[in-house]
Amino acid sequence: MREQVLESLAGAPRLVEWPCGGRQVFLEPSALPAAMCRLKADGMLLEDVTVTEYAEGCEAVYHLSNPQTLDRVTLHALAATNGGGAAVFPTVSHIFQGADWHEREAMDFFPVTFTGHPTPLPLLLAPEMVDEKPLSRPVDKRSSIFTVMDYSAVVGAPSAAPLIGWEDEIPAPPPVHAIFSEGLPDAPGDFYTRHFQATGEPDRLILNMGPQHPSTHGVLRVILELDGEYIVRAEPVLGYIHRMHELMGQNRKAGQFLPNMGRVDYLHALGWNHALVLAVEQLAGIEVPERAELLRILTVELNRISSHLLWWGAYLLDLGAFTPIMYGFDDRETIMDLLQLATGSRLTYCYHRFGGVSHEPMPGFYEGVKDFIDGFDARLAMYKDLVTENIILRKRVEGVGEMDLDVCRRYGCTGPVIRGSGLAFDVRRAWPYSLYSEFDFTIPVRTEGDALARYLVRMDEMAESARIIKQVLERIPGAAGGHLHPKAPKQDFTLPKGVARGVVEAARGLVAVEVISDGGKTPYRMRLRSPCFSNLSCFAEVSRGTLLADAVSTLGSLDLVIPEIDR
Amino acid sequence: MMALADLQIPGALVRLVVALAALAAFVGVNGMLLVYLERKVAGHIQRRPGPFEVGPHGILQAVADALKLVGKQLVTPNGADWLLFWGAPVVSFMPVFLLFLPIEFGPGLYGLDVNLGLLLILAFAGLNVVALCMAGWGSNNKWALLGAARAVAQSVAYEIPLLLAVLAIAAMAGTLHLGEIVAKQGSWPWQWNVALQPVAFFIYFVCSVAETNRAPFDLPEAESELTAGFHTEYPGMGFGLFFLAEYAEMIVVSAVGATLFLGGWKGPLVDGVWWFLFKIYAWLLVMMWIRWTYPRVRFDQILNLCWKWLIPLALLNLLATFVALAVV
Amino acid sequence: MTLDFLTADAAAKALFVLYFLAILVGGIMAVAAKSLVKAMLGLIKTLFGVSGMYLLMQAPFVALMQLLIYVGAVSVLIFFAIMLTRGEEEGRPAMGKKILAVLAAAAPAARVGGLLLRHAPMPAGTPVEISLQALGQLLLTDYVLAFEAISLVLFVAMAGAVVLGFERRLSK
Repeated sequence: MREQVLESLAGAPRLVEWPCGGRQVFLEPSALPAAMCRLKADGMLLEDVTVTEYAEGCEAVYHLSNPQTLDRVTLHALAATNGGGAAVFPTVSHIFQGADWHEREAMDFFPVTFTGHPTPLPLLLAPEMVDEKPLSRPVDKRSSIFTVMDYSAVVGAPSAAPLIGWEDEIPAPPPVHAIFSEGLPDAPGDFYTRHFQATGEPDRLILNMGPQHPSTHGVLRVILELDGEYIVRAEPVLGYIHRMHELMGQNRKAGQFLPNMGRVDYLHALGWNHALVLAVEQLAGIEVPERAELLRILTVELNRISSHLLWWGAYLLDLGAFTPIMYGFDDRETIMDLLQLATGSRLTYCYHRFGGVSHEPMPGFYEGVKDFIDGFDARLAMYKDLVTENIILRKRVEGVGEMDLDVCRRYGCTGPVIRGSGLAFDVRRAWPYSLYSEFDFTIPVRTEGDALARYLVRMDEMAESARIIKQVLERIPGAAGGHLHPKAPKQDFTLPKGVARGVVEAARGLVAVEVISDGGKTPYRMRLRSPCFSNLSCFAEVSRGTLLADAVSTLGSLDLVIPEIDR
Repeated sequence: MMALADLQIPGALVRLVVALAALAAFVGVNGMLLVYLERKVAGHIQRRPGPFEVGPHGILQAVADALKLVGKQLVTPNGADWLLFWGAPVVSFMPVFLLFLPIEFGPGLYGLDVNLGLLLILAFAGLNVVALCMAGWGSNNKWALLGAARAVAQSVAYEIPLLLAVLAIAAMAGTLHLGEIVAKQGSWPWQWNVALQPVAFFIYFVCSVAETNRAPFDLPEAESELTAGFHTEYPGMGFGLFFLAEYAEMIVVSAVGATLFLGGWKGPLVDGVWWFLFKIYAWLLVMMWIRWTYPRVRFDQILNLCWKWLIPLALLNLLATFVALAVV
Repeated sequence: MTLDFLTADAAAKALFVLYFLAILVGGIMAVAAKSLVKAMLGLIKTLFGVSGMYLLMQAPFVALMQLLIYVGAVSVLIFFAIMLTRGEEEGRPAMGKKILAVLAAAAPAARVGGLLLRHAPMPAGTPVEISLQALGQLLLTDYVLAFEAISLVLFVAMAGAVVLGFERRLSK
């Protein structure tokens, strides 16, 4: 079988249409840069790179989507791990700059190398742990890729050459800096500072912003090279709150993994809940009753408002306004009380279940939501008068951290970030899931691409979420079914073989949970695509040449949740 | 004893010593009061009650804060310059008493009867920025250094429009003696200088916020950008002295502002020291109100505001004042 | 400024010694300090001493102006310049250089000192405070040329600073 597949792939890239969404292209690793060039020229955005280790070698899956035409393409490349060595892929980080971090992350966790990667430093793991490869399995525990996926479909599949063919010259990756071959010069500072210093100009002021800094909102660290107060170079250093959720997903059942989702992004926990249940329901073919879908939408949208409110307050705190966060928390407190009635918890919600939600909300929930939503428009208007129209705020966010669509595409920015740059790309409308297609709401868009645009998009999104909630409240009394489908499996059921990917729009952007199961008790691989990870990856480019204060403003406007970046 | 008797200690010296002691008490009490007031004002602006635990309505909160600060270990950071590091808070706090000396609190209620009172205050107020420089440099911390650099650029820039605005008043009054400036104003608001010099008043107010490093001009300590700016490394009372000096300077700028523009201790119906205190506290409350309402401006914006708007405006105002004086 | 008690000779002499020491110690600190910031602090100390001397000479306006301009603005700008320039770490200067430096410093001191010893200055009598109005009158009548020359110099310096700043920004 393996030989047949390889033989087929050696001829040309193969195109397979899978029911689980989008076109799947199977190709040789060496063909990746050319394919990426073509897809980039087509206006595609690199969502994620999923690397999985099989008995046959490592498979790298590149998820791309076109935020304009809403096309989706998934590239599969399988590279053999020869005799326990590393699987080798060519880097595409010079084509899609967002791939830089994805590749570094994969190199941390798997025995793979991306040849030509300009800065092959550990990203999420500590430098001392670089040889651990935590997601790599012992040889006898590896499953065959053929048990997981219908790889045999590749044989005899039509050629994908028209889709990904590229005639022009493929750009070569930039040269790898000498320190990666010659070793680090002796200098004070930690591993990352020394690398940063060695790759820059000598005798500049190197400043560590974080991991304990008031405006990085958690343990994010950004190394800055300053000229006066202007930033010459910036490099985020991640991994200070890395908890290896993907490994936890592999050693517990999918139902047991559900509570983890609230810890990935503690501000929009229900969005991540939704992504995981979507993936599992897709994989196991589980149906969800209408009432449960409505409850999901209701709680997810409430959670989205509370997340945006916290961002709003914290962002203004970054800009030096101390009071708005208290007003934001006032409303957020009400939402947390309401969600407590529904889900039983206040922050790290775990409400969704495979086939529905865990229980009906406690009495008083719907009335409370109605009261809150009725008063919320007035609150939003007050926020606008009090804060949005303020001249000092305007001067701090207008024209700051400008990101055009090209930047968003190259780095894979999604959510309010891409919507602030002029594209109405929202998963709820792009590939509607749950019952979102049945509701009347608009996707707020701004074309300026600056911090103000992202700010206004989020403010409008809160109003749109409130609109959705109003419609849900009207529908819920007459909705069919209960909170859980009667045929829903037990929550600790064993997943069938296969691959599924749940994609949702969370408060910060496109969230995807990819579940790969070989039919074992626990998933074979659990991949979490975090929007903040990609949104932050553009920071180095966007902040170049700006003032320190503007960098803080830009960082805040990306709405980062550090645990979500590190996972 | 003979030498002392020869000196014939004059009344002015006795007055000076008594005034310094009284002012120490005044600064201490009002500093504590302002700390409490600031937290309460912040609380009420943010729709929360503010401190409530220590004493009834939390009135002892400032005492608790002070005790905490005093009780903290004094740590000198690695590589810091001991002399500069610990000298800075002292240099920041010491001149504060001098600043109060020429201010006339009520009829005849002043520490030092000095013709150049206004100039004395302005001269010694400049020492604060030297203290910030010492703190920023001595801390051996890059954030503190950036904070000090900002402090220098900001206070040097804002000193100019401040002086120009004050000069307009001095030219009108024909004196730098604070008591005489008050004497030339009447008891009713339309007899105050603010009615004649609204532009100078506006410039002085903006500069007073900027010179005391208060939000929205609190760039030297902008905590979301520079962690805590120049006092990032200061523990316990090192920070406490900076803090107290900041509040004392707030009182000074509002006292000078009240003297120059708001008729000092004169007020409708009954003149007296209460009017002066009332005006000072009204001024301080406005400063607090602004702090808890607005976001922070950016560093280049604050300098642009000064160089491109305030200084030309102040110059024009001064010119207009001179023209008016010459004509009248 | 009423400084009645200073007319007492003893107090005046004590204050003179105090200011003198401030100037001397500040000067030595400014020259001998290893770090530029400490040298600047020494300079500030000296300026305070000089300002005290003005007070003794019944010139409080000049004394306060000294503090306002030199301590509050000029020294602080020097500090700014120190921060913007990178401190070049130099080794200890050679012995010959040190001797030359001491000689260079001592030469004017010896010359002035010698002159003073030979021709002891006459006491100028008790200084009298000149009112601010009179000072202003003098500046705009007898000394108007010097006054205007200074303003011209300052104006040129300011324009130069603006031009330099623009050039730096354009080259970026």
